[in-house]
Amino acid sequence: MRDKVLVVLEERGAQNTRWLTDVFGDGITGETPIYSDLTWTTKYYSETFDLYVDEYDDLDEWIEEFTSDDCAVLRDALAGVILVRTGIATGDHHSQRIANSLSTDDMFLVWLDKRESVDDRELPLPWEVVQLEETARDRELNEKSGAARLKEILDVHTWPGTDRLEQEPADMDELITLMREARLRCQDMSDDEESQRYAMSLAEQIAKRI
Amino acid sequence: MSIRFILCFNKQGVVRLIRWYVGNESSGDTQDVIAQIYRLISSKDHKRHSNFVEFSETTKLVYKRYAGLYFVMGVDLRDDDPIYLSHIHLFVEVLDSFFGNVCELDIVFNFYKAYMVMDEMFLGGEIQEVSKDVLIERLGTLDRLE
Repeated sequence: MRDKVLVVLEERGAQNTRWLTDVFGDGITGETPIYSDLTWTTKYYSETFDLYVDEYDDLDEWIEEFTSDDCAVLRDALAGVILVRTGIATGDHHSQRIANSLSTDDMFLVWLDKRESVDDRELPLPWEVVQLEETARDRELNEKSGAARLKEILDVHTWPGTDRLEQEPADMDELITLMREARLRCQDMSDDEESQRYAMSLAEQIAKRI
Repeated sequence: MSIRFILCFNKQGVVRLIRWYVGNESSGDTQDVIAQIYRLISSKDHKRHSNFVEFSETTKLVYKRYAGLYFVMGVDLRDDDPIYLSHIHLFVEVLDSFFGNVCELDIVFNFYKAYMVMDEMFLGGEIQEVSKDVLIERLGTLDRLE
């Protein structure tokens, strides 16, 4: 089940990880490598996930390790990767190497850039470049960046648990039998008011099930 | 026929809303057409480029990006571009009023309501109502009926 989020930092430290707290909540500072059983809550669903925080000195070396067979299990469990970086070199190959090692159909990949101005199209899909700091122009155009955009990306991500919003399909035969029995019972009732109340109560039960 | 289709997708190309008013006249599969539209529009700098782009021999695209969502209308080549841009803006304004500060998540989980808004505004490729107040009142009534 893809319910792990991997954050890869250029360097740890409070000044570099304030956004982690803004996105994932109090206590998430990036000092600990694993935060388990976090809850992502929206007005439509809530989902439990784990957050992994790693850092790199040399991104090439980190990618080498990440794309190795030893990390295959980790890659299969990831819902998304957030890579923090300053700048994108011309012809950047890092993003391509990471994306090639993942099954990105149901994942999010975010390049969190510390530069003052970024173009969210600088990298091809499935990457999205997000500027770490919010700017005045972003506010003017209602474009979100930084922590707000990261929250949006996680909000609309198809978490494995969101499928659970659908109920089990109702057994129609059982419902029809229930309605037949209810009809017979109503016919036996002498009190109209009681019969009406029973019918309404049954209608509500059936409506919930379907 | 004025509007050929209305399409809404996010920055990743995931379609959130789509309504066809005419059949797909191109030789390609519908998914291919959507992918072409996405590639064409997402490659443009929405802050500097025009909101109008020719798509095929019969269709041009009028689009606008709002936060993380692209709203696209495919219209006839001979039609007036800016009016459709105003239609898109009205559609987004109505969505925003109806949902209350609409976001992509609202459209994902209430897609049937978003289609209700769209169908109240556009019918058979033509806009039916341009008054935001009238639309909001009608939509409120429809919503209460559910």
